[in-house]
Amino acid sequence: MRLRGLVITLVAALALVAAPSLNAAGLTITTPAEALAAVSGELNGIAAGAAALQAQASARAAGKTPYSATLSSEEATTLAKADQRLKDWIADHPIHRTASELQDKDHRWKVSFISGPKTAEVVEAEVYVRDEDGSIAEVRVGPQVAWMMARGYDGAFGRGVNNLRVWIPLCLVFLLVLLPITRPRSMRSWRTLDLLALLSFSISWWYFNNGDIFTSVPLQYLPLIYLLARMVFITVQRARAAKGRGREAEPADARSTRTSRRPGLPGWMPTWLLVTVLVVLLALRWGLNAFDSNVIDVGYAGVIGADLIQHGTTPYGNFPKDCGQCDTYGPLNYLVYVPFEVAEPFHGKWDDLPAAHGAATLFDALALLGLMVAGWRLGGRRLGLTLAIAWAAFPFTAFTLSSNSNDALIAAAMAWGLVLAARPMGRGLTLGLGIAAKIVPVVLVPLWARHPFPRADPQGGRRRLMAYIGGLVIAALLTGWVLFLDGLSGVTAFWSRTVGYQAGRDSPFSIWGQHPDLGYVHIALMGLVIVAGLAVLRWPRRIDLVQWAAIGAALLIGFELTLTHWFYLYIPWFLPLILVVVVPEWPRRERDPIPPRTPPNPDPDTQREAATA
Amino acid sequence: MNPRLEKWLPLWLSVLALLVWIGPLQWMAAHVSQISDVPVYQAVYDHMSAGEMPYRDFPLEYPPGAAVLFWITGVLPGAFGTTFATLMLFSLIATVIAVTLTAKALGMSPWRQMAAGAVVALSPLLLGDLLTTRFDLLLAALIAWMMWAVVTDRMTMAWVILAVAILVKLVPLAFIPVLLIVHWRRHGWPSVARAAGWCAAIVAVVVVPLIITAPHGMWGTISYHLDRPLQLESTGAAYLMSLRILAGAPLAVESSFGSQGLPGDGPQFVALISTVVLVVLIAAIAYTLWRLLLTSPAMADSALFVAAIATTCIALLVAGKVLSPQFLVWIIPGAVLVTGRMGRWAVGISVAALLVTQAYFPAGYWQLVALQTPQMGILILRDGLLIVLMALCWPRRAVATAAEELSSA
Repeated sequence: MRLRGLVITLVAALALVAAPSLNAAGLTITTPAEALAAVSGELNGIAAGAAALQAQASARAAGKTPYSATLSSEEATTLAKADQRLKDWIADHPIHRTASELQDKDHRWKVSFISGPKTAEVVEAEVYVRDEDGSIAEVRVGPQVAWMMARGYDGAFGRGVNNLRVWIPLCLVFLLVLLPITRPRSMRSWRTLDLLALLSFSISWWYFNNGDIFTSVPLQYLPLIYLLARMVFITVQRARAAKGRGREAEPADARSTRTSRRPGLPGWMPTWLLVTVLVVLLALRWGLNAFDSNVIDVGYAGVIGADLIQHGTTPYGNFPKDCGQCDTYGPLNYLVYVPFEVAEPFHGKWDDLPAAHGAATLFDALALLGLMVAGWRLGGRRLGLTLAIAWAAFPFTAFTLSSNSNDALIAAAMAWGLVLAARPMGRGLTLGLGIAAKIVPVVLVPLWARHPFPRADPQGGRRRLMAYIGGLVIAALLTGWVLFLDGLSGVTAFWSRTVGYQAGRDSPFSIWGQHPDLGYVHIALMGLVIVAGLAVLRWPRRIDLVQWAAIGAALLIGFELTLTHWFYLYIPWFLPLILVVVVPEWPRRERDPIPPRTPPNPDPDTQREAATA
Repeated sequence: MNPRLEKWLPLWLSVLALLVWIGPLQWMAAHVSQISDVPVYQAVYDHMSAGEMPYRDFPLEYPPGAAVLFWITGVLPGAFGTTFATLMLFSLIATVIAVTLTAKALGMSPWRQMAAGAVVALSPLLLGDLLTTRFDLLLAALIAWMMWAVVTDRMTMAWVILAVAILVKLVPLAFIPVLLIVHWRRHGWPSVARAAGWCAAIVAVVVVPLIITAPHGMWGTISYHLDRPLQLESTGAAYLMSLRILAGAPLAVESSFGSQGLPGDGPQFVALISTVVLVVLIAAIAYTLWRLLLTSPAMADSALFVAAIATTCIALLVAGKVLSPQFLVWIIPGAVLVTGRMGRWAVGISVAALLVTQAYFPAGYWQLVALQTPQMGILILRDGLLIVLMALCWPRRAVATAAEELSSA
């Protein structure tokens, strides 16, 4: 470094001294900056040469034949600079210097393009040049340098499921089963648009898979915002109907034919065909997971956590370095992997991890079964099968399964919450387990405290609330002991490793991460979600199951909108709630019973009693 | 239909089978290269003619009844292959007669009887020349005659035929629950015990001496089948192939156990699952039959029994870990005799399954081994048709209703 400084100073001084004479001679004047750049380039070349010599020496010492580079550092840099993607990127991100190094393992030149001051340099782009023929092997720009998942590697998440030959048929089956295609006029409905909106995440996903996250990220917000708006709209519409407003618009004959309170089914398939489709879908999903999938860090985290628990250690603060931030989930997430880890033990490395495959398949099956039971109870066998197919055919649930992530566990909690909606303790237990798995459902705590059955006995409100809290406490007791395995250290680590880590997380997979200047909007939106999460304690005044599910979905979507790191694996979180709202043909909500009008009574005691009632 | 034609229908259909066998089938044998099992059978005969005892002195993958067939083939005059083919011709004719008689006993119309018998008579053409070089037609004949015996209420005879079928090939063991249920429904448990006792005695007379003299050889036969990997043409393999076509799932083929199979943990797991599915299917068929027999009139039990046997046969193919093309001939006698609207569809799908099988075997077999997409697609289609066929043949209320209508007509 001292030598480099000396050379730069000498060259700069020479340039300054020589400048007037050169100008007089009619020659181009070299500015100090240009001189510095030239010297910097030379020095980089010398450094690269030294690195190559060192690599050769190491190879000789290891008894290997030293690799003789075909290209020089300068040639590799020149070839890299010619790449159009790089040119486009550095046009907006000025580069201060470049660095190149020959990678011994694959004989590729890694040419780095660096910006920023020396104390805070940022690698803006990396270009990999094949030494043998000078072709460009890979170009990484912006977030792709630091984030492997932004590079669009083929099947990085879930491998085979990303094949369009799988994805498109799944989308088609999803629509074919859920839309009333035998009644074309009925297809012109909000439901059709809702289902298309759910599938439209695929457009963003396609860009993501091609490594274009500056297109994929904005696109992911369109369906999120649409679905949020729809859930709010459905809630308001039903609240208005309950108050009696808007009933005039409903034709009288529609009211007279409305005999059943059970939801109808828009689908057209007979039961045997629904069963067949479901079996085929399950064979496809689970087969893909078994034979053509991978385990992302989430599944890896679950297996390591289960291994730690098995060895009597709390996962929090005790993860190995290669998965240092993997203790960011709730304790249930690690507990559910334990039986699978016992059957297929962890070998201390990120291999096939069969335990993660088993656990992910269980989460998927739980979510599917929960939806089937919920549908069956709400509208009969065919609705149950239809909801199960909706889950199985929705490509992002298959994406989650094939990535062997834990996100279907949240979906399972939502689905079983719907099944147990009428039982406050069951509701509390399900939500508590969901929170113990991934914290996220905490946004639903106030909403799920409400009993979503407007005709229920209003006197039992306190009893139901206590049962609900009891359910939450049971869930905490069932899973919270994991924090105490190492005494109190796990408890202190828990907060910083979970909420603390997630709150301070930086990521390019949201508009908040890509545009930090939107910070105020971000904070305002977070505030809005918190307020909405609390407001549902009082509004709507009397809530039914459809509103309950719709508000739940809206809150989860709202929460996802505020996330700095959003990913397609989070879509299944709200999917069960949206499916229950959107798929069945719900009967219009009856007007809430109006209390009988009390005749004017001068007796103040009677008036007080009436007000209390 | 002409009454004389109707009266002699089994004969005319036997003649049709004979003409098919000596005409187009021989032309096919001469012009289409085949993969033959006859050398394997002849090697067994050669061992036995040299005084060696199967299972003890040389391994044999088949049950003892098959060894008896190979020995008879060798003892009879003529070249081994020709004699074997002639015996299979007799088996075909026997199947045609049994199917036609059973169709008549079930009350099917003459045209329907003719269709059922004709499909059996033409099956060598539909499936290909491979039937002359495998002994599966013998099993088909035994299944057909067992069904005839049950439909005509000759229950002891049915059990005896079942015993012979078990000795020829182990798979008819799967028919025991169905036969037990229908026999119990008609005559009660004492009769079942007597007839099933005959069956057990016949099997024991042959098998027990062999177990005593060659326990390792007998166990070797069983373990041979247990150890076999998932065979290339099985439904499980077709499932893995569909994952390969759709998503590029990795797959490899290896030659072992005299055929081509899929090695590795994944296919092994699929083989295990398919075996579990097979057990569940056999139990489900038996349960369905039992429930239907309890609520259906007695005249419907024959039709339900035939449907149950047909479904069990197809389940053995669909959920078995080995599905050689010649196995398809087992399903024909049952599938063509299923009554009702679904039965007519079953005849069509059976024919389609045979033709689709011929589309890849033998001409495209080695391309299938090389995992070429068109051949894999054909195999997936064939196995899909078998699943549809199983659903069509499944014993259901409509079968009983159709049987009642036939009886009243």
